[in-house]
Amino acid sequence: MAEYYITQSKMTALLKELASDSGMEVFGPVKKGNDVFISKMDGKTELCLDYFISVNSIKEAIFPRFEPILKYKLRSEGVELAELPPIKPLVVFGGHPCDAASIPLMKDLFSWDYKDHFYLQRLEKVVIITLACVEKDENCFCTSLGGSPHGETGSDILLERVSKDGWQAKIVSEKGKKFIETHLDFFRDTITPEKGIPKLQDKDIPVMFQSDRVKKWIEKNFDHPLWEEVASNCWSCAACTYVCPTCHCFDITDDATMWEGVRTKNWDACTLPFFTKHASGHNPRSQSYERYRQRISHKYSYYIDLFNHVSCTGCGRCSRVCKAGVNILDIVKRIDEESKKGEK
Amino acid sequence: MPENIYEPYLMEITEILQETPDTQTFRLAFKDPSVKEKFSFKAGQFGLYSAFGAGESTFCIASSPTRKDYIECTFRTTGRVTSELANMNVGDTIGFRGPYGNSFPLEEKFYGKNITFVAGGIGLAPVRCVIWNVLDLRDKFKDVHIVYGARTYTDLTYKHELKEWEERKDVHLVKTVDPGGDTPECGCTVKWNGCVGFVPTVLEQSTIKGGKDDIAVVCGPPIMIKFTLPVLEKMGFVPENIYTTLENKMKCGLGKCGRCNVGNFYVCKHGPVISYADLSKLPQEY
Ligand SMILES: Cc1cc2nc3c(=O)[nH]c(=O)nc-3n(C[C@H](O)[C@H](O)[C@H](O)COP(=O)(O)OP(=O)(O)OC[C@H]3O[C@@H](n4cnc5c(N)ncnc54)[C@H](O)[C@@H]3O)c2cc1C
Ligand code: SF4
Ligand code: SF4
Ligand code: FES
Repeated sequence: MAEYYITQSKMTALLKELASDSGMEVFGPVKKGNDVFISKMDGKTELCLDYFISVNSIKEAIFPRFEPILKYKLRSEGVELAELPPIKPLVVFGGHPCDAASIPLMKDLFSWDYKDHFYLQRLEKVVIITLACVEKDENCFCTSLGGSPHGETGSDILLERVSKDGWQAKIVSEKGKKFIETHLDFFRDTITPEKGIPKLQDKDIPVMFQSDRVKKWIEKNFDHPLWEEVASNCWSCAACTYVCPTCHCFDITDDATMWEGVRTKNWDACTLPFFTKHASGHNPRSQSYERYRQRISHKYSYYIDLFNHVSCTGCGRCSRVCKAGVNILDIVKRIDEESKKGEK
Repeated sequence: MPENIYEPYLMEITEILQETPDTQTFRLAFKDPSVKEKFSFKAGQFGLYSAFGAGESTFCIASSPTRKDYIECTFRTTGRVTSELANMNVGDTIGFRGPYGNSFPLEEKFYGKNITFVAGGIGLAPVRCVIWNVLDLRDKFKDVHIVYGARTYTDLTYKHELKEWEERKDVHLVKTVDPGGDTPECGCTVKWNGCVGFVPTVLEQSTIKGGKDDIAVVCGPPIMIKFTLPVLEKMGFVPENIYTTLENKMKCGLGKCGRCNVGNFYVCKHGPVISYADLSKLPQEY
């Protein structure tokens, strides 16, 4: 099979070219303050290629923060449904394997009996170009959940760094192949792999817990005091859920004038205080630790019951963003320890 | 079915009944005749009703699936959407998505059995759907008892139907209001001929005899349910045959928005109907 390479400058040029096409949506890493975010680009956006991991995940591109799901006209004769804008093809560049690994998980949810065509059509139309990892920090734990710093799951093209200036492009899917063939000019250069380019192997991120043992403990310990201990410091700000590639909770709200309105699906979060509040005022999860317990239990137990997979990729974003010191890896490791104690 | 799972059917309000000062029943007709033709549902299922401009709210389908020309919902004004709905008139258009969720296992488990319905306040809405379903197929069931209570006379919903059930020979209705709820100050405009007392107490004092094969359907405020359960068990009902509906906050009704779960039980997909035997296996997050 042919080998494809792309230099940083060609990648920047390609994304800029695609982003100037109004028929397309392009997302890439953009610096804001000291941090890098996967952001929607236009032809003028400056890309940032020197970063470890973006604060947010590629979820931003495929499951937008706000998405119109219904438009209507309010007329004196009654309500009339109006057309929604078509879903555009899109390119998402700059996530890591722990971003892309969320794709099959989210797909399971959005096709569970009822098919959410907003998500599923975007998935059909997206080309996900992922950067294999060359760096890690203490919050990374993809390998504990079956992932890998050079994992291909969910990506269309995987870029592996071979020189200071460029990547080798690995075709992962049909869509990825077509993308490279369509933009072959950008992938033509041959880059001679340089020595000393950092590469991350699976063993560089040791496995730190057993997720099936964690699930077993969660099933039996809903009322365990550990939950309050590890999560009562949570401020219920929901930042962790917004940056998470697999958190998918949303709200549905209307916004209307006298003449027309739009209904949107917008990100919501199980860690927010009003999330489950009944109209009567009763709230099944009134304490912040109860809500964080839901966040962990959903990912590490309930999701497995529904879709046979942990709904966490080990990207560590939630721990990095949390300024209240709630660290998912520490918590899951603690649970695993407790579970081991119970086994003896 | 439209491709867009969030797209509601348009429905016209054909009748409005003011049940209590804050509760109304809407009778709704599909605007699109082809939808009306195809639409069907089962007792216990719910839908998302929308006031365009305000948003969506979850209510059960309160009419019986045996009545095919319309659906009905009964709702209490509690917030933004319900206030908007409460201001609507006959002829106005609302949205409806559904039917969603599971249903009461009528054929599988209720046929041939004695059925006791216990409801409090607006909790009669989901129960009423099953009551009419059962009454419309009356010969498939043995004895049918209904125990219904509200805080005051004014708060009783479906008053006209209570009267109908009272007059029927094939149903036994016990109606009650909380102590003090039968006074003119509480809006009692008739000479109250029902009981005075809380639902669980009235149930216990009733002539209803429970048994391990008998079915009970219980819906109402959590406090009523809490005190009714031990009474039912004392009467001989078993948890496998006591059913209720969960009313967790919902947004999508489709198993996507992540809001309604109790443990791994998604109320919008696996519920809202659940037996006490199953409910007791779930974490107490409802
Ligand atoms: C399966 C299921 C079936 C249901 N069936 C029925 C039914 O048949 N009938 C029925 O009546 N209900 C039913 N409910 C409950 C119903 O869904 C809610 O009561 C309803 O959605 C409230 O809608 P809303 O938009 O008007 O309230 P919202 O605007 O969403 O209000 C929700 C919250 O805001 C608070 N709030 C609203 N307005 C104010 C205010 N002015 N000041 C302070 N706080 C405020 C409320 O206290 C509440 O906590 C059911 C629920 C479920 C899950
Ligand atoms: S865990 Fe941290 S980031 Fe998440 S809601 Fe709580 S305080 Fe916010
Ligand atoms: S829960 Fe945290 S570590 Fe897991 S995928 Fe979400 S952000 Fe990443
Ligand atoms: S209501 Fe959205 S998941 Fe159940």
